[in-house]
Amino acid sequence: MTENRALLKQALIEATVKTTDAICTDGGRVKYSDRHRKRLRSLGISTGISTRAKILIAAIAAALLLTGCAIFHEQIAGLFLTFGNGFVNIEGSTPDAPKEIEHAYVATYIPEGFTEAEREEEWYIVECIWKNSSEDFIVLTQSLVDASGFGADTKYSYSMTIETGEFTLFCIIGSDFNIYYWSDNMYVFTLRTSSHLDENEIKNIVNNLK
Amino acid sequence: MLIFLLSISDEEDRDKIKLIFKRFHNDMLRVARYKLRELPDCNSSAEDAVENAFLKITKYIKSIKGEGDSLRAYVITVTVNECINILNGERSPLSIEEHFSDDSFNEDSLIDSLDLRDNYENAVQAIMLLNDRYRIPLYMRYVEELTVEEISERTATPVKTVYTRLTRGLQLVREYLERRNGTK
Repeated sequence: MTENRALLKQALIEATVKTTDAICTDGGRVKYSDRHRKRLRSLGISTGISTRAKILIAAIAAALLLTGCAIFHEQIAGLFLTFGNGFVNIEGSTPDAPKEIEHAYVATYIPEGFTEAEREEEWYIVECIWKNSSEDFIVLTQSLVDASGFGADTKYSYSMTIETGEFTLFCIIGSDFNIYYWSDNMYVFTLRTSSHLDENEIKNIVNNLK
Repeated sequence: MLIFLLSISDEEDRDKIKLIFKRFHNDMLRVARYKLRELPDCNSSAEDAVENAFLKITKYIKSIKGEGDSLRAYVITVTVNECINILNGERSPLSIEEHFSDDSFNEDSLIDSLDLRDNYENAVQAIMLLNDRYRIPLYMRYVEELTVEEISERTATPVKTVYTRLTRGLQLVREYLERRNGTK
């Protein structure tokens, strides 16, 4: 590349950045419509849900529609639940929740014998995994309300709610693992555990997030 | 469209798209609203432009290099290009001069005629003053290093018009530098 070409490239980048800076003088968050949020989410841009889960949910929903099965909704403490034949979809339902994780919660209580194996922090999700020597696991996830959308198979499990004193947890109780969902109206949390973890242990974990 | 996006199986690419969304979504919206401010439905048109820009970015995610300022400039350029596409639906996309194609595009001699080493700051100013219709093809050609045919495809503009805009853009930069240096 000639020197002039290299300088032209640099000048084009600098000019674009300066022009953008001149327009974007206000560094705050830009408000946008629900339509835009939904469309971005449908493009998979702002959602934390995995591609595989999305395909699964879409396939289940399509199958249900084709077979004429009933779908019904229920709202539990900041969560919007969609029940179908053998599946449930769980989403946060707080309209003015943060668009970026502003406070990443830390579990200050974890049952004895478990140690942190992995922690991932992104702008839309915080996930922490603990394991013990018996290969039992605890996975705690904090997601943006906008990025929440979890599909769970209920064919081989059942659902129930648990009161922790602070929150109402929606629980999927399976044979190998349990999943607990709740919202503090700012974020949506999920706790996935090996199935034999005691209910009081779960309440302690949930009530001791700081 | 959704199927297309779901087909992005590369974890690294998805992370790159998320990073772009996190860092630049607000700037993209601000720039799009500014560029489309004269439209009666400015806000929703700006959101359309940003959504289309994300689609384009996703489509070409593998070819996106750069980070920092270079990545920001790229993302904003794609957004502005989408704003132009929306504006083109509102008004005539071509100015009179663009109906005349320029077959004598001599890129190297045009670039060599710019004395950028001694006039770098003025060149930045000149580019900032350029109409987006000229600046975007220049950016795509000399930063993204796309061929004229590729620019034509990405901007939905005929190849001859791309040549004209590249030539005219470089000429305008040269004229600005000459005026600043008092040689014209």
